[in-house]
Amino acid sequence: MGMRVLQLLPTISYGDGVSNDALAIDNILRENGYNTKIYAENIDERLQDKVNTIGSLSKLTDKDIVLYHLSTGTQLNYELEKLGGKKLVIYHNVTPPAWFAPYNHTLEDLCRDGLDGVQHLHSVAEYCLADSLYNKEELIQYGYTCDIDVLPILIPFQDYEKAPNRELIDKYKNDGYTNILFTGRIAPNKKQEDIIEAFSYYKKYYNKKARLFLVGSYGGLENYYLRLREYTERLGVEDVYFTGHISFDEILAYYHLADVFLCLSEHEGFCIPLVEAMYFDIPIVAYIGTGVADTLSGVGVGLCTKDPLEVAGVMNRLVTNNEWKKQVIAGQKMRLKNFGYETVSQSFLKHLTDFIER
Amino acid sequence: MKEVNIEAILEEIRTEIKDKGYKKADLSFDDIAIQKPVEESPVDVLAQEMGYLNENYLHDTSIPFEAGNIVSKVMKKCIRKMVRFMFWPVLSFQNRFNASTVASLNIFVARMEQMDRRLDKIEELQKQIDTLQNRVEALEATIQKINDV
Repeated sequence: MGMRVLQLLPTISYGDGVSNDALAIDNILRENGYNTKIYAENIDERLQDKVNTIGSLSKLTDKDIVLYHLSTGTQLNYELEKLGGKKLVIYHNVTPPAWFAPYNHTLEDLCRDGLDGVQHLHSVAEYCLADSLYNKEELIQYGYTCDIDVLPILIPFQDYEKAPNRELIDKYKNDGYTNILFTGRIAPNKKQEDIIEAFSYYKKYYNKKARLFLVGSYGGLENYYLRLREYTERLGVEDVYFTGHISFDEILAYYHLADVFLCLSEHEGFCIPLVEAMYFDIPIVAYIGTGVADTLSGVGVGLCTKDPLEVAGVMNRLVTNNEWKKQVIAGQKMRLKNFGYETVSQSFLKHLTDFIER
Repeated sequence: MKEVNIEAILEEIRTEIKDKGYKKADLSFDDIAIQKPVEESPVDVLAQEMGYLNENYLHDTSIPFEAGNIVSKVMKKCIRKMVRFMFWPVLSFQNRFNASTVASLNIFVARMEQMDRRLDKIEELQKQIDTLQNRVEALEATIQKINDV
């Protein structure tokens, strides 16, 4: 049997960033003639025709290549070394467990296990691809001595060309309101409370006709979500909308409606929504901590401050200064090219080929 | 296009905030209490709650009066007897309702626990199937090699 390039990950979900990355890599490998499959422990029923269960994985030979997506706690982190073949780890980052400690001990434990797994794999990985420089540096801190290259996540831009939800567009478009958007799971590391606070001052001091859309699921973090809701009510700020889990066409609609993308997250490995905002020409205001700095790489309005009054002031300047807005969007358009499907695919194939030939 | 100095813009904004007297709210996110963490297994949570419910679903009307002297205790007993006709039917109904609700919940929790055990068994069997499938494929490959020779 010839060489196989097999992808392994604990869970493959529909619409999840890591899962989309695996599916995109699968396409690239097939298009380039590689004998390839994806294996996962937990498979979304909508992907069962594309992904195989880990249990069906046959014995690997020394010629085989394993691409392992590392992003969470799982027993797989300790099973990888028992497999044959050469090991390439794709590191997507694990959220530090302390963020979840007040809200969900299970998630906290999962993240702690995940970081233990990252530590454990430092002697197993023969080569790594990291989504960002931040992720690469984290691997080095965990004692990884193999070569590590930075490769952005593969993003299915063609999906963003689909039609947005018409009902939402008709409901909110061209009504004179400024729409501030953040997309991302309702999670403590993403600091939605800081977004709400900054928005409240923007609405109070600069623009009463403003809305905030917080697009993202709060599953598993209901008490954080409820805390945000109570905070919003007690602050007395109106026009804050938590969408929860919504369909893809609805997510697209919010991107089409947005005037500013506001990100005040304090932990991201990559932050796909920033790239999505670039794609939809939405000027970005972001706190440049962790992986956000790498993804933006100087474009958008990157802030070292999280003072909510200052953030509100920056949003106001961006919305009212057309020249500056155009400049920001132009810079983001240039940066977007670095995440192009073709560019990242070619880069991935080069890294893979070099690894195979070692 | 002219390069924009974000730091300069921030300085202007800070001056504007100071000049116009923009103030932050007294309320901070830290002032909002966190509810008890959500545990992953609803069955475990339910089982804990059922423990409390099973002990406390009946309201006991024969609770003795602890506080007060002998006169006040006698008076309280008399008052209790006098209003008994009013609250006893309501209490009786509520106790019956509680008993029925708790009994139903106990059946529900037992069923959920049973389903959890079955799910674990299904997972275990799936793993066995996968292993056996691999062995069959390996054996078939061996047989094929032998036949080719």
